[in-house]
Amino acid sequence: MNIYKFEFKTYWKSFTLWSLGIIALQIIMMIFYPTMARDAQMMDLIMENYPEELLQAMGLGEHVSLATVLGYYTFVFVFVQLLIGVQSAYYGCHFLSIEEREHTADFLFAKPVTRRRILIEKYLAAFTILLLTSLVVTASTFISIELFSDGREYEIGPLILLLFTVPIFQLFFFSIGMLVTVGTKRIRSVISYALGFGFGLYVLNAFRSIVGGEFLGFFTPYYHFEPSYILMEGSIPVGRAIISISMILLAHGITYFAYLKRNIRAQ
Amino acid sequence: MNIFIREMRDHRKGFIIWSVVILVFMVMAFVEFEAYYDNPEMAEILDNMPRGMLEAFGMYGANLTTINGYMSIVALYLYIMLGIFAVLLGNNIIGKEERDKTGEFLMSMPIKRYRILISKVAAAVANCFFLTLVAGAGIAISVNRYNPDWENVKYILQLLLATFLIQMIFLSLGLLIAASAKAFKKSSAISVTLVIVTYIISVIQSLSDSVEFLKYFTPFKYYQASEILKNDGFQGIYLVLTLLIVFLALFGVFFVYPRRDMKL
Repeated sequence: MNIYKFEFKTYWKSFTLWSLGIIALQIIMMIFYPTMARDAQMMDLIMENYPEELLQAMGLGEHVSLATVLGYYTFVFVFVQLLIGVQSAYYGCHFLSIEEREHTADFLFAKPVTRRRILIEKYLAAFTILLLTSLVVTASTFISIELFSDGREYEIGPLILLLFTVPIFQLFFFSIGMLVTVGTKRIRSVISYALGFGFGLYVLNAFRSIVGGEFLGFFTPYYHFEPSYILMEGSIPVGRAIISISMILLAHGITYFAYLKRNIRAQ
Repeated sequence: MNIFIREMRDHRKGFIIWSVVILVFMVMAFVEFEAYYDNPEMAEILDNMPRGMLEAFGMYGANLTTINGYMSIVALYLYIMLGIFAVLLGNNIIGKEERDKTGEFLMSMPIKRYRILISKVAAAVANCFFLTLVAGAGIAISVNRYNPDWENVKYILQLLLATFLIQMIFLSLGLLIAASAKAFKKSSAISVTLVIVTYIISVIQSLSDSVEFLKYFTPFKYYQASEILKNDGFQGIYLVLTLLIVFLALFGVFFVYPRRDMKL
């Protein structure tokens, strides 16, 4: 329990900063909603003139109207995902490698606590922070939408479903971070990996959404938990989500066994 | 020269990883191009799409059915990835001495700090340059089968130059952040914020005309691929802005770093 408490405290500052970032992002992007909504209504009119099949072939079948609250919010939420993706990958990489980087490993691992216990307590501390972050996302989502929805109606069900996927999405990046740590001898710069994965997979999906095709989407959780699908269809794309979930489970298994056997480099 | 070689060797592994990622991305990006290439039906639909929507995706003015049009979309993602590479590199190459406690060794050598800096900056620029070349190679491999003409080659070279300039901006900012921040942890946090914030600004900027001025605050907008295609070249003001940022940031680095109180 002591390790958990100690770890939990070390995240506090970073957690506050990330939360502020997420809140600021949502509010700033929602400020533009009222103006965008007016422009977007024109676009929708033009889009309606095209036959469905053609749009489908273009990969625009999933066209989302930016005029509606949820339509616009899909656009906002992709950036929220980008932030929490980077954050989660950072934590995943950070919490396993920090002792070796800061040369505190010999202090910690010399304590009369099993390594499994250290691993689990550290994991849970990071996981709690991820859950708290998802609560912050939930709160700031509702607040920013209420503030700037311009009195327009929206369905609350799909929104709750989308927010429900946040922890799974976080765990995906968290798992990648853990995998990288147990897969390398020494990590010098956590942030390189976090930014690389967070942004890299984002870029892959952003590109996929323009040129279309399922192939690129297979690799990226931004597609597995695509906000436009969840908000517009009102359901989670189960097939894609399963890819993410199996990846998470696999990574947890590998991390658990690999970390217990890891040659921890002390000073 | 020794430090330069040492730095090149030290960043070789990261460089190779990034190169592989960029190459794979380029090849994968062009998998989808096959469906668009020379397909007039699709060109017509794109032509009639609403402007705001296309702009939000950086697609305005792009004709996906031509090599140039397709490249103009790929370019944005190239900018983002290589920009991130550059900011991290600038941050690392300065910050790692204190982070890895190797500064003590390096600083006690009979070399002035500004000489060390020159070698480090040169190594970083070389890394960025070579990564741009790798990206160029990736594009060349992917585009080759569509028989590009001189116009295509020229446009691709322009985009690569733009990529390199954007890298220089991010590199110099990364160096400056690392040289002036108190600790490595802090400087990496600031670098992340820089990348994410500039990217989000570039998206917000394209949303609405009322925030047009924001484009000066984000390097991703300096060399918009669609603008380069339209104007057949760069706009002078952004070149000046780029030079100014790079120069001021480097000036800051060379001013701050030699006076820095190393935490060793």
